[in-house]
This record gives sequence, structure tokens and C-alpha cells, in this order.
Amino acid sequence: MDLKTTIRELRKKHKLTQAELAFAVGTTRQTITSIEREKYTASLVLAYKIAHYFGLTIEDVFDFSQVEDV
Amino acid sequence: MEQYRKLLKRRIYLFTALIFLSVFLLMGSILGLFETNGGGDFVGGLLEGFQSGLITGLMAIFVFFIVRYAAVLRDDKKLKEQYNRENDERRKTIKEKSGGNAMLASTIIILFAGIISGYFNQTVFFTLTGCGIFQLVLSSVLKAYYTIKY
Repeated sequence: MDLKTTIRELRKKHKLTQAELAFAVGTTRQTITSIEREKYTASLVLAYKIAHYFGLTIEDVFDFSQVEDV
Repeated sequence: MEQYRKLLKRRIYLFTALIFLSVFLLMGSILGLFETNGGGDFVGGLLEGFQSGLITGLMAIFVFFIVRYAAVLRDDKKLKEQYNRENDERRKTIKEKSGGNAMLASTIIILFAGIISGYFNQTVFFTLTGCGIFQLVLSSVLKAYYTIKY
């Protein structure tokens, strides 16, 4: 199951490129691309790092409604 | 990050040692110190040429990584990017699914064993090299598949 995220919107709001976000959270640009395209589900640690970087909670960045439905 | 810096330095030393080993094998082959089993016939020549090519190819790979790591060690930003790339969870997932480090290590060992065995027995050489190349191709195909999937 792939999670919907608001990373792309948050990046645009903060005027960040995928590479800059990736560098800041310790991952690669390709991983950020995959997460944004919902092809790859980030681990709890990476999800926390991304959310923490934007000053938000994990639930604010990732949509868990599909998980709750299961 | 200091631990990672030390790890890269250790890798440079390892690759340098492997280059020396490769040069030793290559020079020995050129100077005729190691006679391949099969002598002057067509298969013997093919075997010698294949061995030299494989050794040269492996040397080129080792040199590439040494140059790359040396450049990374001089620049902190590049070091962090390299660290991120190597520890990236998506890349690790793809690597694990396509055989992981065990597949890579066994392929390198099989190819080196194939090169060495070529000095004693042609059949063993072709069998081991065939196995090594098959593993390499299989791993590459799986890696390409999972890179597209994730």
C-alpha cells in the first residue's frame, strides 16, 4: 500500500528542490521522487525526518486514511 | 561521518591491493610466467585474451572507485551526498531484492577464481566465468526491475 503525501506541496511552499530536501533529510532525490509519486512508502524514520524538517507531524505529511480503512 | 570517512579510506586501500594483484596477474600473463592450460590452440588464445580483458576491466572498475572516493574525501558536501546515497533506504531495498551484497561478493569471488583457474584448467575457467557472468546479468536485470517498480 502506497501512502499519499503532501511533500510536493510542502516543497513548493518552502521553495525547495527534491535534491535539497533529500540532502537535508539524508536520502536521495530519486527516493523523494518515488515517495511523491506514491511508488515507494517511506520508512517511519524517513517519514519522521521529512515531517520534522517541515515542522509538522507525520500525519500532516502522510495520509493514513487508507491504512485506517483496512 | 568520521566513521564513514575511515570506511572509504579502507576501501581505497583494499582496491589498491586488488589493483596490485591484478597487475601481478596481468604482467605474469604477458611475460608468460603463468602458462594457461591449453597452450597455443584457439581455445588457449581465447582464454588468455579473455583473462587479460577481465583483469583489465576489473582494474578499471577499481581505479574508477578509487578516484571517486578520493574526490569524495576532499569535499564534505560530496561526502554527505555519497553517504546519503549509500545509506538510502530505497536503494537498500532494491539492493536486497536483487541479491544484495552476498550476490556481489560471490560474483567477484567467482570471477577471480575463474581467472586463477584458467591457469590450470580450461573447463573450470569457462564454468566459473559463465556462472559469474550469469549472476551479474541476473542481478542487473532484477535491479533494473525493482528500480522501475520503486
